[in-house]
Amino acid sequence: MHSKVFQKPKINKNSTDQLIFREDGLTQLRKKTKSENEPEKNKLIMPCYDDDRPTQQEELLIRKLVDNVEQHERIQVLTELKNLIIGSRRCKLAFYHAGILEILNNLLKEYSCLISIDILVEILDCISSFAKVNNKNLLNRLIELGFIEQILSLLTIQIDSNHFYESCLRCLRSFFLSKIFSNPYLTPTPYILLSDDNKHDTITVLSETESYLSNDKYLPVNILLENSQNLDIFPRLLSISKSTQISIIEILCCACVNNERQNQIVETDFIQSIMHLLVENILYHNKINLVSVTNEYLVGVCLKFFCSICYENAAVARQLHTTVFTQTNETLCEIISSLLNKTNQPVVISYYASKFFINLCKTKVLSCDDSFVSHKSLTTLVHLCTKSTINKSIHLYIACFDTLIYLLNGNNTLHHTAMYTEQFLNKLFCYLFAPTKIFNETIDEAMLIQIRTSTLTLLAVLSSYHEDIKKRIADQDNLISTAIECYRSNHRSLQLAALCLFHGLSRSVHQLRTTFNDTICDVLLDAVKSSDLSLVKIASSVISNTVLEFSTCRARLLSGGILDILLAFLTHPDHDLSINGMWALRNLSYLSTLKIKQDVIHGLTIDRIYSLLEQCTDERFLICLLSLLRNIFNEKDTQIILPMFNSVKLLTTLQKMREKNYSVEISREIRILIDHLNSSNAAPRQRLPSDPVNPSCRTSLFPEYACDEMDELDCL
Amino acid sequence: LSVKNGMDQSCSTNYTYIICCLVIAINLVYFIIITLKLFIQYQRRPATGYYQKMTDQSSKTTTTAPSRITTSTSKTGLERLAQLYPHVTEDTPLPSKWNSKEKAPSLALQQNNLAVAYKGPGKSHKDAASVRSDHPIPSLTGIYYYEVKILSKGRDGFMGVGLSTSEVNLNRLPGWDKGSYGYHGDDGHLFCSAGSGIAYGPTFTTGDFVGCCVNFLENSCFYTLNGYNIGTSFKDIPAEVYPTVGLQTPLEAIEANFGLSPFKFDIDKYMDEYRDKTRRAIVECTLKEGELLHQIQLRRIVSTYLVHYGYCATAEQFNKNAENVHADELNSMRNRQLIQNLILEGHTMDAIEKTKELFPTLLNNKNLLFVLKVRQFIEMINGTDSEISKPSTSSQTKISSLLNHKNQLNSLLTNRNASSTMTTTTANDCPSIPLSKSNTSLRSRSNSPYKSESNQTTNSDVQQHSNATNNELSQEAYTTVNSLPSHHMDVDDELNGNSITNGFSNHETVSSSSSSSCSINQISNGHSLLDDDSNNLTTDKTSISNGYLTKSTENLDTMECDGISESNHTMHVEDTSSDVQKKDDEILIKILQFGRELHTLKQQLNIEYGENLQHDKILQDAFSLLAYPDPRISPLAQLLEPSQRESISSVLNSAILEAHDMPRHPALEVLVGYLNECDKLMHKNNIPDCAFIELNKYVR
Repeated sequence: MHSKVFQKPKINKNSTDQLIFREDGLTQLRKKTKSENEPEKNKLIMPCYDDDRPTQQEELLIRKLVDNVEQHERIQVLTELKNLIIGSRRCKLAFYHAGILEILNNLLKEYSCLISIDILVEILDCISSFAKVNNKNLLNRLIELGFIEQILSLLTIQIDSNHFYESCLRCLRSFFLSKIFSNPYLTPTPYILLSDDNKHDTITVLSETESYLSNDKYLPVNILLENSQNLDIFPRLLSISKSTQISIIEILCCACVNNERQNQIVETDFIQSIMHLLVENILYHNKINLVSVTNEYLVGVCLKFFCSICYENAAVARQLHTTVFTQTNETLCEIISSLLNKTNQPVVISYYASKFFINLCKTKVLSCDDSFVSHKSLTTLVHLCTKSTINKSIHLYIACFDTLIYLLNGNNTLHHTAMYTEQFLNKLFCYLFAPTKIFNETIDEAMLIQIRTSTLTLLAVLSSYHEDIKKRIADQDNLISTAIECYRSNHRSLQLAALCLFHGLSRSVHQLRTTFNDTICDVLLDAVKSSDLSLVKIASSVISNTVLEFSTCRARLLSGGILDILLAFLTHPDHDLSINGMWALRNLSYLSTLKIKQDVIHGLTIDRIYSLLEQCTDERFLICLLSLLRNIFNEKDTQIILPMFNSVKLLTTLQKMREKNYSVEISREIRILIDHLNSSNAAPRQRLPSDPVNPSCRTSLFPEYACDEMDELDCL
Repeated sequence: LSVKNGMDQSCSTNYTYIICCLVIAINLVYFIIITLKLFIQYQRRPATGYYQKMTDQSSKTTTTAPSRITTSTSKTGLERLAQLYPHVTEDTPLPSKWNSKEKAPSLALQQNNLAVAYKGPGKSHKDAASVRSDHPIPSLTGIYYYEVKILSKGRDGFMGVGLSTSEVNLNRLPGWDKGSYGYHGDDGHLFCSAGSGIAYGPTFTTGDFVGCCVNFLENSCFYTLNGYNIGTSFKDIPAEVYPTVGLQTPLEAIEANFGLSPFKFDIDKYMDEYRDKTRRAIVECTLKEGELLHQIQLRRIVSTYLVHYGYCATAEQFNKNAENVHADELNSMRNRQLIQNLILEGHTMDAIEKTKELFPTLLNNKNLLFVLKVRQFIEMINGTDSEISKPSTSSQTKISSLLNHKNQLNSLLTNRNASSTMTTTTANDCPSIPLSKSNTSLRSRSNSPYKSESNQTTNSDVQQHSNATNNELSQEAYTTVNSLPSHHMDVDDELNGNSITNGFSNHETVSSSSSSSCSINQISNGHSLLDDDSNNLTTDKTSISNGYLTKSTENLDTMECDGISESNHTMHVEDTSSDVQKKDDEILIKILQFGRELHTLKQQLNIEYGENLQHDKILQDAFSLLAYPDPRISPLAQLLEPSQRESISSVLNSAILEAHDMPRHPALEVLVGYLNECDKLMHKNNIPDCAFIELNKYVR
């Protein structure tokens, strides 16, 4: 039955994603029926039913494939094989264990020499299907066998067969779109078009993808781009058909994993040709009012390419910004912004068009109050995830939220606009509190968690800067309790998001006095003791704010043993965490009682302070330490604490440091400290403007929690 | 036949296109239901505000008409407004400026009553002052938008922008009282007919642009600040509201933009979205089984439309798909198509004969017959009617009077024609039916040596006997000939057995039994000219069949088939006796005679139905064509235009349909008409939903 359905797998054209999706769906289906029917059926033959063993019929097929030398018969067998494996994970694995990949590899080699297109196409289709399987070993084996290289070499052959090239490129694309090799942020959902090209995040979530990224030689991207001549194959193929265009552009999108790769692609001059493709398809779209799905898909892919190519790459972004379409004398920006204004187009196009401007804005090519960004992209995104009824896709909503998080994090001038646009804040609360009500269809639990995470993170971003927005968010009924509940759930992403929100709110004196209660303290203490490093990191950031003198949490945190935990962080192998620990200690000692200061000094030990002062090379850490000392020697306590140090030794150490070639900030910090120590011997008249919570200086909240603290220091 | 084939072919090539049209047509039907639903829905709304508004508006239009003159500040501005609100007419003017009468005394209006400044004491909230626009917002705008620029926030910035009904006290800021709504600049709060506000948006101050948009489709309202939509503010606003601003502290000043200059906010995009929403609601509307209209009925509506306009191939295909075959209708459609084609090609007489044959009772309607005959007359002058051929061709086609020689396929009938013409011609001599000459003699003229005589006699006959029986008889005389075209049609209709046409022709012969029997007797005489054996045979047959009337036509039919080989022969015979000069005269005489006949018919009509000026006119016009040396360059040349045939053909088509109990207009057209009326009604009743319905987009 299945084989009938997929007799001619149309992986090309626009149905790719659906197919991928369908394959997944079928896999599940197959599993179910198998668990119901197959065990009973196979029990007699095979007492211990093994998923990965091919059935007799399948073994026969393999034998036929090997034994038949007749090309015509081989094609038949291959078609049969193809129909079996498409959509069946079990079949794929079974054949894999039976060594089908090696057979296919040999066949591919054999017929590559003969250039017999029909059989090559069948082989490629099979490989393409194998490449889509979500199994790391299988994929690694595929790449080990050198299929990618072979396909690339096949592509260099000059044959007059579009079908052949389409097959090759589709197969190649399957490798690139594979979930195993792409980082989880690239394809967070089956809704691949909306996948994010956050190569940046590969670094922050390294822990998850490490295993795959470490074996570089298995990355399709590296195989493709290690030889720069490989890219030269594509421009010629771009003109063949819409299918090849889509495949090539999607491959290029996936290849944009870092700045180096992006530059490599830009050097091959894909920008002009893809811009032409974009304009061509838009114009076609304008002239004839009948919407062509392929064109739309192609426009979406082109936009996705422009988004990926300039992501976090200022040089490319600048180049794109100045790119002009010579025939109409329009800039690329104008062309893409025209796509933002259409209401009757697929949401994906609007989404990627907005994302393009946001990427330009984040690379500082466009200022954030540029109308492309603030008026068009921002409002479009907000609109997409509030009002859009065209395609009430939860994936789209999540993607929009994530893009907004990306934009707003650091661009605080847009916070008010975003918050007020179409009552976005109220909508966010709805999504957070009762997402099931909005998406009335039954949605996946994982999706539900994702959207709540994104919403909570977006609220955290919004609450990170402006005092009035913080107040508005914190005053929302049930928000804090919901955040706590989110933390208590077992989903790490939700927990992180909840902590992010607390972090945003903790940056306000007012919020520290009002919103933060004992429950949050408990949550923080729990998080900081967690075994999950990322949780601990962000919790430590929140704690460094909440241990301040006027915080309602301070006492509870201290009684919860926060001091020991913070001291332990100082020696933590994770550098960011040690800085966070120091920063927390610094805040803790600010305007604190003598007892606490003494505890901190005892915890740190005076010897360690000296050694750090003399030997520490990390400027961030040093600044934290110096400002800690400044806080300790503040006010009247100086006279009591100073004797604990050798005051002469301390001063000489500081003087020595002054002579070293430190940065301006450190020198300033040292100078202030020396002045303070000198003056405090006489009378503590001078009171330094030590600003513990300075919300106006933070530019970035996540994911670099540690750097975040640095920013705060910058403003001191 | 080739023409017909061509049409069928073009039908099939355009098949896909027409199917597309059909899909639209089906949508259209859904659309009607939706609009009806909307209408019903709207009618059910709280009636008070609605009717009150209706009355108010009617009274308002009379009083406010002159004030519109001042609005013509810039053309582009007005154009923009016209583009934004295409459905708003003069009857329901748009707000254009602040109303100097509807304002609190402490406000001063400037700049063509667009700017407002506060001049009062501004000590407490009792000093608040508001101003309303000159007109309420017409709900036909669907979505209305206006913008206010804050020129100065004054002392405290207690400014409110919003809406209010005409009853609201003007010494209050908008939003404080019932029927008034406002967004305030000092706290960014929203006041919805209440003393206390709710947190809504940011505060606004000097230099900001605050916009207010009323969405009558959803009966809601939202504000914009500096071009950003800040989200839905109010719901369930009353039907008739005025743009309103309120100021409270000294030096506060605002300037309104009612659409004459560009807005900060992209209102077009917002409207587009609603247009799209409306479109989608219509297009994607699905009906549950049995709801209002059944699927089968829809199919029937579409298929009758196709049948009506003669899209045979499409209709067949459609019916095949819809599993809903109306064979009888298809047949009738074919016949009508044939007749229409004849008219459109100028062979009016053939068309008349065909009609008589297929729809025998139809031309009892003399008015219709008259109109057709006048057209025939014109065609005769034009030289296109088969009765008369153009001088250049006439020499070759003297005898083949019935059918056009240009049409190769028709030539097979000439033989048959000739024989039948003979029969009628010779009928002249038969005293029992002298009146039959009036028609037949015209045809006989070309080939009979004694035409002039007969012509004279017929003329006198026509003048003498202008009564109903004359017509009937002449009609019957025609019908004997008519079996020819019926066969012609049988040959054409490959797809169909076409038993109906045969049936008709049989029927005809039965009715015309007396005349045919007479004529057949004469045939043998007339046929002395024709050497052809088979022809003689046929005449023999017909004469034999004299006694058995129905049989005779069958024989005739079979003979026609034989006639194919004989046509050349007859032609040849005719050629020998031709004379060009003589021919032209003959034509003229023929036309004149036909004209006389026509005149008689008209007089007869006058007697029966009374004076008909329209008939007088068309006949006069047609006759006057003869007065010109070359009618083609005469003032009445347009009568000779082929386009004139279309109206005649559609008149005949409708008449045939009516006679067969089929609707004069296809149901689909009627529905479209209903739809248009419904749309008009919605406009008349100011139902905002129709603001974004563009019927023309659906009805192509």
